[in-house]
Amino acid sequence: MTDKKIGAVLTVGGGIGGVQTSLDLAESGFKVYLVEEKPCIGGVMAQLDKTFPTNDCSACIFSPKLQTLAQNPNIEILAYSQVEGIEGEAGNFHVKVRQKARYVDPDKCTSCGTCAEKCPTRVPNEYNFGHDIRKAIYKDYAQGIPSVFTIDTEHCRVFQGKKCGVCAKVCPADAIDYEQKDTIFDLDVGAVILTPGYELFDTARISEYGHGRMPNVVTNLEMERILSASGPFEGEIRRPSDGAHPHKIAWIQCVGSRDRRKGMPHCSSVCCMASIKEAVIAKEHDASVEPTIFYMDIRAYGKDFDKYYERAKNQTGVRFIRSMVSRVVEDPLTHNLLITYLDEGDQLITETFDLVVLAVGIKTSESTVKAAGLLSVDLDENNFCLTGDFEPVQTSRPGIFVAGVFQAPKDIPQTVMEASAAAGVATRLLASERDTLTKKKELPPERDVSGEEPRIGVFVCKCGINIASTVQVPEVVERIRELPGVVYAGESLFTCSQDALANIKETIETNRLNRLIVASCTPRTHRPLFQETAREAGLNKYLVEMANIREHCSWVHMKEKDQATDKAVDLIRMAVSRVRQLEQIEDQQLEMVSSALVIGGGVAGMVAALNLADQGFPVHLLERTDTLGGKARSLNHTLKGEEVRPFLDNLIEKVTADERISLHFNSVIDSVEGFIGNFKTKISSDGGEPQEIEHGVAVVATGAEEWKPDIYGYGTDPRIRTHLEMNEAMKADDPAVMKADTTVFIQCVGSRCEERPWCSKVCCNHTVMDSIELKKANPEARIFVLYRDIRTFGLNEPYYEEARRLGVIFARFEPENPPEVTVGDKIVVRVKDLVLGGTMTLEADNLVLAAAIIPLEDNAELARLFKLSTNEDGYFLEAHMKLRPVDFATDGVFLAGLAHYPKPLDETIAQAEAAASHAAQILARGYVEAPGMVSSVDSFLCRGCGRCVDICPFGVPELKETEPGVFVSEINPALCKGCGACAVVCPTGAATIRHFKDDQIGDMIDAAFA
Amino acid sequence: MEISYYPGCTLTGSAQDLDESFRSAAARLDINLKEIPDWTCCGASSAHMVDAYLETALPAHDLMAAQDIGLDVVAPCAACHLRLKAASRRLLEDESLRAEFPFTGGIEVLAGLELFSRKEVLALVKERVVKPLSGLRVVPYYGCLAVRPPEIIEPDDPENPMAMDHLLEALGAEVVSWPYKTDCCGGSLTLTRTDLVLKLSRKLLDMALLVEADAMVTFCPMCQANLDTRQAEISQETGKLYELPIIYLTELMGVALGESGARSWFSKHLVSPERVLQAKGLL
Repeated sequence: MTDKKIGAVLTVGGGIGGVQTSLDLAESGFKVYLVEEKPCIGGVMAQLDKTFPTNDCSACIFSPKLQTLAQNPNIEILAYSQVEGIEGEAGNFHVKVRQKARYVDPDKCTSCGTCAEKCPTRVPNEYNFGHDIRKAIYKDYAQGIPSVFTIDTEHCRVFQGKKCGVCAKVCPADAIDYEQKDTIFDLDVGAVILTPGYELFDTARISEYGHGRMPNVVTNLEMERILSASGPFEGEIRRPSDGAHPHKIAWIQCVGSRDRRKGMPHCSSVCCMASIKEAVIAKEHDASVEPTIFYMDIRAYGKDFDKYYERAKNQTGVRFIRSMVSRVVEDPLTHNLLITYLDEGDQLITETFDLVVLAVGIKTSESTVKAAGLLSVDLDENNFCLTGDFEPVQTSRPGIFVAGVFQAPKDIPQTVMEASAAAGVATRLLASERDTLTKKKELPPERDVSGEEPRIGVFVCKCGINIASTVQVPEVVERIRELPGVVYAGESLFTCSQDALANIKETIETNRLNRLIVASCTPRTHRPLFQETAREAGLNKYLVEMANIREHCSWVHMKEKDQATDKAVDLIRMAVSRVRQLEQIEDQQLEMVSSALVIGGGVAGMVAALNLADQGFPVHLLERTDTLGGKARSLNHTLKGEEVRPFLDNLIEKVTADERISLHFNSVIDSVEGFIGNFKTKISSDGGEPQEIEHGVAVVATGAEEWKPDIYGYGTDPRIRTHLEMNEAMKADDPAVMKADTTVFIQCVGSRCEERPWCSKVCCNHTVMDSIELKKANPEARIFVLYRDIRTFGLNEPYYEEARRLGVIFARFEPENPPEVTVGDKIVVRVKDLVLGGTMTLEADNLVLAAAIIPLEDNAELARLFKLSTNEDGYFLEAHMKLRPVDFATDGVFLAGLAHYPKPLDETIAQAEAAASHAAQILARGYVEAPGMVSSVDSFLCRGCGRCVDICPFGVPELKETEPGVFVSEINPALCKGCGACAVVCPTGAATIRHFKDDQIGDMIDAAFA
Repeated sequence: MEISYYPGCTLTGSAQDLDESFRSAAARLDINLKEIPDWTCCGASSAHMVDAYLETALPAHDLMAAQDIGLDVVAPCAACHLRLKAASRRLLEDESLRAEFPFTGGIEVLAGLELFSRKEVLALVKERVVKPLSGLRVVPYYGCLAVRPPEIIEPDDPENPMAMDHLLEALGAEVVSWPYKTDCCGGSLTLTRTDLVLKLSRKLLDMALLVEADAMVTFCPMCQANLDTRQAEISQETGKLYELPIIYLTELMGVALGESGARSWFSKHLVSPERVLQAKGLL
């Protein structure tokens, strides 16, 4: 490795993976170059309608991340770009990137859309899979970043040698440049992170389903666009052939997945859940929809997935048919679609559907394969990035890391986890170069405006024609000019454009404005921008207010133009009333302890501890037993065949030898006080005196347990074993196990049932692994696996195939008719045979039970101590199931490993790296920033009733005895989330939320009714 | 262009019309067919089911003869084509068989459709059409053996082949999209499971009638014979009159390319295409 390291990282691919890893790296003090081949970042997640299992709107949860990214001064977005070459080694790479010409100057383009409106060339819109039309100058989606239009030279008349040039003529910003050239960037970076995502398998090679020639056969991703409010049918479910509302909709699973003949032997991991979600959402959009899902195995293996599946089946009315459909036949007259399937009673049934959705398999794109070659990164046989189980984000080339679907098919949370893990691993590599290439914005000192009469400036935005075509903007400006306190009112074409922002700053300075109102679009996306602008002009950011005259006015009142203008004036009047009352507020910076507490000495805890230590932070590692290693101690090898023990020994050795890591064995936590940056945790070790540990952050990595079954004769005979017990026997090479004639495995033992309604995720893979090993040790052995659904997700699927090829017999059972076990000379297992009918009797020498993974009983206690949540199953609940899989809602506490949910070792390691990465971000900052919009209690008005203490969901207010018998509520601003519950419940008005005080809201309401 | 020609038994018997129209189309497209001397039966429909050696040995004899000529060989009959092509593969894989039949793989086995779909041939077809089949609504019917098994046949698309569609378009016909291009007509069960054959054939005929086709076009002699001859029975069984001409592609090529003797081929059909073609002014 090189001596001279560089504190910058290149990320390749601007989907959710690239966005997350870039944000993490920039937060950690590294300069980031984000390369994206499309004109806008956002990737597939931006195209999705909703996300499972929470049904969150994808754009709504993703957009804020995109905006944060766009405003980060240390992230340079190189969209419409590709890596062309790389030299150097880990720590110091030199990368060449080519940015394609857009033929639009990004510095001038305000994204007003006039060009696209006037462009005469209509092109099928590939962003919506051709279900609507775009122009030859276009932007994929409204919130696309960078917010710049791009000319599609394949269709643009100018580039086809025809007469046109309309866009250049109409562009108000003079941004069109037909002569623009590609730009080459030569970048020096210390590491590269690959997050290029995936593409769908080419449906032309699966023509039995007719996609591409039958208009009403669509892919999963097309269905996302069809369901999306911003899609081609604006969220109305219509079918392409005639625009009619389809009633009977079929989803076909595994189209081009689990299909070696198509060169796609892997499982695509996400389709089952995506299809169930689409079926549920379709039914939500239109209750008359009758959704049917044709499948082989339902792979609902993630957190809360099985519950979602069961709800879809039993409550929403999604019909599930276990049958692999061999083809779709189109009625040539109606374009309806006929599907013939085998029902559970072995009858061939032909049914007609209005719309068919194909769950098309996912694969690495051709351009990614090419890029991998360019970067000398090895791929596996299916073109996914080659990684090891113990280094899940490390590619074959040191210094280049991977996250997301390029590593293996996976869902969004897992992608986010890996993205943070990759950032964490890169940070580990480059820790010495932290903050060397990043810049902090130089800001002028903040003006103190307290005591000044309000001097308000109002900037009314035309938003191109978005507002101006409905609202009479000049009239609005005239009518608000005379409002009390307004000293400036003006209009601009795009208030968010570079020149308009410069004008705002200048106006603030020349007019000595002390309040700012922007009347434009939603504050959700634009407030930070205007706050930042005001701050650059020396104004406190809490003195900025927005009036949303676009979403709340022009867009919804296109047909009532006169009233729309009145309403815009009303909205601004309300904003003026409020802004007059606003006060400047300081965000707080609290000092912090820069060490971490990691709870749990298993693989997750050790990986997290080592990562933090490598980044230079002291770590306390707490282990309840007297040994490190946790559950991994009883694992032999992974499904890929990598030996666990050497990895574990090495890890233990490193952790033990690391002076920055203090080990606390046989330790329990007695109490926790404090908050992010300043935790004080009392622990007792070996039953001794409690010891107080001060730490800034904590990582919960307490693991989980294997359920001890009380069914299938477990405990009555030593030949009946759980998976972990089977591991012991196989490790000992027990001939009674390895050379047995007949071994039976039963799956879902204690999982997916009423008491434990979750899938334990690892068991199918574990059984497949064991059965292959047994079959290899004794090819004559008869091995039966009794299962409900085989869930060998992702790249595990080929091992299921291998087991079958070796002769392992997989037989399905229904939960209503579970196998019956009788112990005698042999272990007799009887099960209803669903293929041939009748009862199958197996005389086994050994019975292996795939016992559930269950959460620790004392999770609840730990949750109470750290004010964390657990889900109804008892696993710890992360801050957001989709986008914050390693954070808790409680700041400064992070989550990794089985304590979160059952998962294989590689995922545990990735999550631990991710948790450490997030924990380190806080430690590296050196202080805790607390927003100013928090509750404060006027001690004079407070009568100490304690209602705020009762209602606060975060346990923040505390009653302090100021004099004997006199209690006053105190709010620690660092803990307060500003929810306002205390202000509502306070009987005397002592508790208020800064920035949302009674007069600040009340005056607004008065103005509305004035 | 010169090419070896393997007519096979069927084309000397029940499918003489295919043989004659094939030779006619070839001649009009400057394709010189050299019939393989002393050719024998390829064994189709029985040998490969019962004897693994004969499965290859019978077509191997013909392949060796074609190899001596040194030209690629075309087999218009779909079953013959499959047997010959499968054997050519097997010979290259199996050394012991190759000891007996030293086949080098230097020649290709072509289906009739493949020959006429060659880029230069298709271009010639377009050029030499004298009587475009305007107004003739046809459904292309490929049948099973034109696309299956795909590993051996290697069709353009086993589920939705287009080669015949393109040729028919070149002839000026109106090609109607329909879903049963490759569905089995039951041809190989014609003697053993007549009940199934009637059901399968009727499904195809019904769909062709639903899309208002004037005729069904095929290249396979088994399909043609089966679909042509079963219509009377189906009519009897259903009480509905089935009279859909089942025409060989090469017969339509003859009409469009101006073959004056085309009428003689149609006399061999049970449902004569003459009435339909006359109605469209093509005969």
